[in-house]
Amino acid sequence: MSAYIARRAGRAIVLLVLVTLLGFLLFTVLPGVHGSTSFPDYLKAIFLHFNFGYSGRDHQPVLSLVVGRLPATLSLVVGAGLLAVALAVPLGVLAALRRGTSLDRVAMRTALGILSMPVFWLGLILLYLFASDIGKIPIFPGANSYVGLTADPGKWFTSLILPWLALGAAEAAIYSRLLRGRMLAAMDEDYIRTARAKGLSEERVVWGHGAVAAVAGVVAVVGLDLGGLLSGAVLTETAFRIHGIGFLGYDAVAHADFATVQGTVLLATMAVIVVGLIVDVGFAWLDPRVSAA
Amino acid sequence: MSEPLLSVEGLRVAFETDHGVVHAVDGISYAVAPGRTLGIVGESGAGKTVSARTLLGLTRGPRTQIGGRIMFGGGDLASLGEEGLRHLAGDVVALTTHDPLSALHPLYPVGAQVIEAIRAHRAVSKAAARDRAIGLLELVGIPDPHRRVDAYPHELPPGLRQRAMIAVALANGPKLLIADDPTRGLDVTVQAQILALLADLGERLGMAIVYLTRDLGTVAEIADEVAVMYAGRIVELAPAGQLFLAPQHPYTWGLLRSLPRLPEFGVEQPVPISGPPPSLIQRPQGCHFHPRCPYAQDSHRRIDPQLRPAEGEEGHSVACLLPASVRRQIWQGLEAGHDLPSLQQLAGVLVREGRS
Repeated sequence: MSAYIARRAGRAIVLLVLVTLLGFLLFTVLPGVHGSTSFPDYLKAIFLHFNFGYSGRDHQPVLSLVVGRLPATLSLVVGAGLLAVALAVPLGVLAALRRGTSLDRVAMRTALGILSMPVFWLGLILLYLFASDIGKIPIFPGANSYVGLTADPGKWFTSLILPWLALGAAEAAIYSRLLRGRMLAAMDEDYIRTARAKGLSEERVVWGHGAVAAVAGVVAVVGLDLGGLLSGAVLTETAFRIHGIGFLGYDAVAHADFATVQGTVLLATMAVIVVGLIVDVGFAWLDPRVSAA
Repeated sequence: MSEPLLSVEGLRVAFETDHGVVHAVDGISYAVAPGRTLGIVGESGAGKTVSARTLLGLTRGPRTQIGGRIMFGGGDLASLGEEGLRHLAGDVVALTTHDPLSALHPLYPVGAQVIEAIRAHRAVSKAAARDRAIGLLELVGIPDPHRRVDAYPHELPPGLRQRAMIAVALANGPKLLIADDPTRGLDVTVQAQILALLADLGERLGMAIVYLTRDLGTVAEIADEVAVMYAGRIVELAPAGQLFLAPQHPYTWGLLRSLPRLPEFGVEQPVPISGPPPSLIQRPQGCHFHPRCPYAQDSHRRIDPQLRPAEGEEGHSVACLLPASVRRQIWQGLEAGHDLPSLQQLAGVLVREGRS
């Protein structure tokens, strides 16, 4: 296991350097950018001094801008992720167990429908329907209503309900469909018959043996989908005008603040790589066959 | 024979599929006494596995029809509810199968899978169950059980993996063990070890075993009685010694002759049984074996033979339309190494004479 972690961490470091190089090249060849540092200097600045550039527009180092926006983005992404898991696991498992029934059909068609909607469009529809300012049924705070968790936990929660729904629904749609497939495959496995032959309760067979294997299979895919989650966060933050990292990047692009764009892109990529590493290690912990391979 | 522990009476299992009804098990009957081992032999598709899984209710489903009785411990398992079966399964009746790599859960250590089986039926603490699991791993001959209890299935070599699978089945000291081809896919030397282990466990624990296999060779080493299955039916049932010395069904002869080189059975080169196993949806008319039987007569295409007590040893039954005397002469001829055409001719002549 530790050898596996070391191997994956080594790969992650190589990837980080390559991504940094790509980011550096991209922004040195762009017209209108007056970068004059060399790549080694740039690498040194980033990895030794954590200097991701200076935003001329906000008159702040990009890193402190990003760190300041981190709580909002984390609130959105983690909440949406939890919502997605809470919806996807029971739905995927039940749809698999009741394959061919109306529950299965309705759940999977709804999932496909949600999957086909762009996140920002779904966000705008939610605002149009439920936002307290412009909505047809004004029950939830709308765009530009985000309040920090420490400032007011109650308002923090209500302001995030619609964004969580928008981003979480999209993720739940992907994972419930994946889980259904994995669960169907798992319930056909020989070990399910063994579990029944042991005289285990049906709940134990389904959740302890079938769903565990199905979820472990999906966790492996979550790692691949982190980029998708993050780009979804950019769109959601923009649609709801939540001042998170995604909105920061979007705003920086709109105002040609290259240092900020470069810094946020790089930091976001690093986050994906690091979280991907964590997911991979978690998957290896769930499925010990992975680290043996 | 003492009072049977398990008595299967006219068991039928049919699956509705999109292509038609599959008659997987077609009215089989057998009994197993406590501490005895019944071997059930047949090609894949003969219905062995389906019949065995049906004992534990594992074939039940909306598209399955099950008929007949499975008498065990004074009750009929075939008509027992899900809840009642769950109390028996893994406790007094246990199942062990081939391919333990897929039959054991890949995400749990083997010890945890034994512990789970114990705690499904006994209110014991985790620590006590773990001690018992280690003891079971030792019982089935896994070296260093204190370490191996935390090993995952993929970390064990195939032989030890099969032993762990057996330990799961033995978790609660069952009275009846259904062993579904536990030696399939193992090296020959490992096969012998697993067979010896099962025979030893059956004796030491006083456990009855229903041993299913495609390999007549392994059955000789473990079974007290042998049932030969073909197309969902038992075509021959006999005490093991009797079956190997004086087999009476042409299919059994075919199985014996297809074993690799057994000079004592008059076979130098293995002779395969010709033709494919029959479809279980559209079974042959008459004797199901007639399309592959070298000695089949015209009438065998119409008449369906029943399993009847055979001449000779008690407890020997056979389902064959050839007269007993004819069968005896053909087997003697086979043992003497006569060639097939002459024996086929002999069968025809003898049958005609017998009828006149």
